[in-house]
Amino acid sequence: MSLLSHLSPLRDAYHRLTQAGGDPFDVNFDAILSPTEGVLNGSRMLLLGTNNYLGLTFDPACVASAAQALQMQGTGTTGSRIANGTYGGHRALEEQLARFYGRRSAMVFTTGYQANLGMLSSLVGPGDHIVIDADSHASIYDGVKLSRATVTRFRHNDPKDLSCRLGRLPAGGNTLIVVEGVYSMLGDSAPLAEIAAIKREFGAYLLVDEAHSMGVLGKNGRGLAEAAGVEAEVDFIVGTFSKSLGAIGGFCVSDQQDFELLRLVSRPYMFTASLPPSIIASVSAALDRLQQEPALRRRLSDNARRLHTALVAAGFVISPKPSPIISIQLASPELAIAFWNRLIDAGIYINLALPPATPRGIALLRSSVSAAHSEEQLDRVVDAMVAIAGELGVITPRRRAVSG
Amino acid sequence: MAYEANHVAVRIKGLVAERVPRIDAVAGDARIRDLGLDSVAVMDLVMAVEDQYEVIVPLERLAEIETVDDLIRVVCGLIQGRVVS
Repeated sequence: MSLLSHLSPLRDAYHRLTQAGGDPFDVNFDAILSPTEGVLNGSRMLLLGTNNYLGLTFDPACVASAAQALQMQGTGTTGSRIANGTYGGHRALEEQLARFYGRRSAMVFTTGYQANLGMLSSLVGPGDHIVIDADSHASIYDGVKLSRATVTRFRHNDPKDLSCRLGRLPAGGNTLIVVEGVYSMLGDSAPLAEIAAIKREFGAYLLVDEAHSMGVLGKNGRGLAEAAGVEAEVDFIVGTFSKSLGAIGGFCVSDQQDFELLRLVSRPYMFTASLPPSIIASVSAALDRLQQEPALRRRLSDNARRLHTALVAAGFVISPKPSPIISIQLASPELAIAFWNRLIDAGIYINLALPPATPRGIALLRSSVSAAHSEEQLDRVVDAMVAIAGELGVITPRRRAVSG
Repeated sequence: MAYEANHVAVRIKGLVAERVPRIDAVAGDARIRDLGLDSVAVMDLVMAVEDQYEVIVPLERLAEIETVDDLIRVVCGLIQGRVVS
């Protein structure tokens, strides 16, 4: 028996997955040409699975800022901020984030995943309680394990269930509720106003992960807390630089007293090399762009609505509300895999998401719309999806009404 | 208490059976993973059991639940703890 023999069921499932053609979990692009186009196996590909919501990855100001930092400060920091020191850019970006959110403090992490690990592992501890949405991202599930607090899940986006479970918690200790601004698989949002009211009623703390909602929701792009008008009730906002800000990294902002002390206890912060100056510079420039150009957000919203409306009209099973994450639900993983391969053949790259990474065991074709997509590109996606769905029997092609 | 434990066992086995296609009776020593429930389905099962008995099975205790009997034992313990407190 080999060391990895426990993975043999996975090996068999993976083998079956790749029998239908390409490998959805090992896509190797030859080149990335723009926020919306790449080259895969020699063919031009329209990118619709990037989380590049504002399309800033090739933004000239962000690229120039990163290039200048690279030239002036080198390729990396080669260590953590605790052990090897903070660069000017790290602090400046933290101040910029705190200003953007109107908070007293901000802390930058090396990835979004680590931001959740870093915060959840250090905000609460043994004797405390964390209550998380059942559909939380893996980084939340992993982070709460590190906390050693008692972890309870409530049914996805169900404030009544949250309230029920809070009521069952034993007395003593602090309680932290964790939800997401936009859930990454189906693109739905937490009912944050109701959750904030429950938080108040139970005297709990509230952390919102705005990874997919920063730069997407809210008048100023501050996310769901802003859109729902409950920023004052949200004690901690966690976010990422790898989506609307087009780079990599994560952060948390808060008004909590003694927030700065977390730098001395948060192991995912302390024991990782800090972000290189070039990334810090491009993120800072991207945050400027996010604030200075609300038109990007409007274009993103228009694009999301355009794709959503067309797919609903075509008869696909998708989320009821438009959001930049638009996921088509399919009857089986096999069908989803076949559909995904046909889309690649048609020059369209989207994400395939299968159970157990998806809620309720559903198979998903997940698109993420960008402000950088043109209407022509989105219309091409709809045409291809409708044609493939017709061929695979996913939807019944609608007949055009013939007049006269 | 013995009667209640029996009752809990029957009900929990019923909740497991509802989630496993083509099964007549759920054995107490059956490993939950072997019943074809993936990690998400196991979580859903635990939430249903929690609601049935108005208890909370903390996430960190899932590691000790391998078989149906393990689940029954943990839930009985939680119910007793609630009665005691």
